[in-house]
Amino acid sequence: CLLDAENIIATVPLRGRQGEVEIDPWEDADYSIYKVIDRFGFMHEEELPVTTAHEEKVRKLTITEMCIPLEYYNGASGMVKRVYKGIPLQLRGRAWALMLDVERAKKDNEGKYEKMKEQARLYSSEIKQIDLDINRTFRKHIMFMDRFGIYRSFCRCSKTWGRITSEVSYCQGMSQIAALLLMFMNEEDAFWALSQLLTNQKHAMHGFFVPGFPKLQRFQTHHDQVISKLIPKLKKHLDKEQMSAGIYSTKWFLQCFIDRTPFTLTLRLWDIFILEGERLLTAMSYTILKVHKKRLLKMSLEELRDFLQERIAQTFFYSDDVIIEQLQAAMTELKKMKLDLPPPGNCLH
Amino acid sequence: METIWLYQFRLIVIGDSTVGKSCLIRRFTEGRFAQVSDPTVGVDFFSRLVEIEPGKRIKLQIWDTAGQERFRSITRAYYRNSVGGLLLFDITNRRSFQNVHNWLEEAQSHVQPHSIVFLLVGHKCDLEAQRQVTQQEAEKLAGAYGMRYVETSARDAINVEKAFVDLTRDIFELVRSGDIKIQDGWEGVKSGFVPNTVHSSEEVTKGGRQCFC
Repeated sequence: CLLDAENIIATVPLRGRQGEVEIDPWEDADYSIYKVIDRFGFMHEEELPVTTAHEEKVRKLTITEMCIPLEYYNGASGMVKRVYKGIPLQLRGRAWALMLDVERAKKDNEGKYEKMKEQARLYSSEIKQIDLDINRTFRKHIMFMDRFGIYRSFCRCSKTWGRITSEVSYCQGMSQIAALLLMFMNEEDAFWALSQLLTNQKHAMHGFFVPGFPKLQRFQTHHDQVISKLIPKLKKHLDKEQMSAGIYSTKWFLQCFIDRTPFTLTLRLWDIFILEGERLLTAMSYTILKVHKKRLLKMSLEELRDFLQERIAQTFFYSDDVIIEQLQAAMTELKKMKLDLPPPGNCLH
Repeated sequence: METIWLYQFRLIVIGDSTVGKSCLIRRFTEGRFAQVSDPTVGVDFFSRLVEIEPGKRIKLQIWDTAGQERFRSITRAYYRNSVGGLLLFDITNRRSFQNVHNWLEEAQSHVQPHSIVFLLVGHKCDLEAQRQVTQQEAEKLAGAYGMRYVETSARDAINVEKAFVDLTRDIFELVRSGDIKIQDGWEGVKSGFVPNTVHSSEEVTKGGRQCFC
């Protein structure tokens, strides 16, 4: 565990604070915190247990398996299988970049990133909101403890999305996606990965963030239809308790389950989301309700909120592997019924 | 076992991004202050019971909203079913105070035909050294709108109880006097589980609800 923490710190190009900037003591990334940082880089209040030899062995085995060049897998069914099994931590960034075709985006836009960064510094109207949000995104993660670190300069150029896709600009909720990408990629790769997620056909996340949130509405309406058809008893119960999809599923769709499932599961979902695109969102929203159906049926509005917004973000009651199996089953089921995606939007996006 | 409450009031908390809406609500409902608070995406809600008179409990369902302008298309659907609201600004952020008027207009235009009993809240009052809005001018503004004004701090737990309890009392009085009426299809005020001994004298009439401001 200690080793992993060191690895993460060593591979992350932390810029560190500059000059004579005053910081609170807790912001100081002092050496002693290594012991309370887990392998994902999150700080914990207490010292973490040392991983067992067995856990290490299992992890090392998966890593060896992944040492075959990633490119070999690209497009092949081997890659798909690998992604559903969960991409090992050390290779996640490379795998995501590969699946999102980050290299091509970079080549097509050579030198553009540095230029945009410069422009963003000069003109950003969204900078204020971005700066406000930087201070509070994944603050328990080692990379984002130092507010003058890598994240700030990255987020500043997020403003330039306004130029890439004229309407998106910065929207609250995007900062956490950016933060997640930055945990596994360098600054420029993360930027182009985000750009791809927003604009490519498979993910087209820009529709989730443009004013009016047209894609969010489309996915929530579709989600209601899916559960009406496939788990009608639960849908009736949710309606009776006035728990609408607008309340519980907004973060599911906008951020692909960041903060709404345990972090290990969130990463597995992101692996699949990056590979498969938006159909993951439809299937996982259905899966969450389906696997917890019996519990949910007994809950009042307050209990439903607590369960869906907080409790399952701590523990999901089933192992990640079981949930991914359920998810795959749901994807097949929805596809068969032609419910895997909402009907296309009728707007210009 | 269900806890017994006389009424449920639905409140909404609005104001600019980062004025501390979520932190204030969490301090009130969970009794803790989170150093780390992610931006609210869309809406969320929290509940707590408040005892306004011995034996008289009100259940508050408090709706938290995203502060960024873009989310107004989502949050505005939640005004209609709110009986009360906390309009927050940050005393260390003049801009958030100047935007109070916009928030009020936004709320009023989407709550029709109902209305919301608002409380103006100057938040983060522990940061006195960085104050950009004086208590006097905030009180003056609140007075002009016919609202109460209170300064709170979620971090130091200053006036948090008072803010919610005062607003709850004001609404309770309006319900008791009949100025606010329970209505089918309106979630602002709901009648609760009432033991006969406590609530025999108060008759709750169903019917058209009048505006009172």
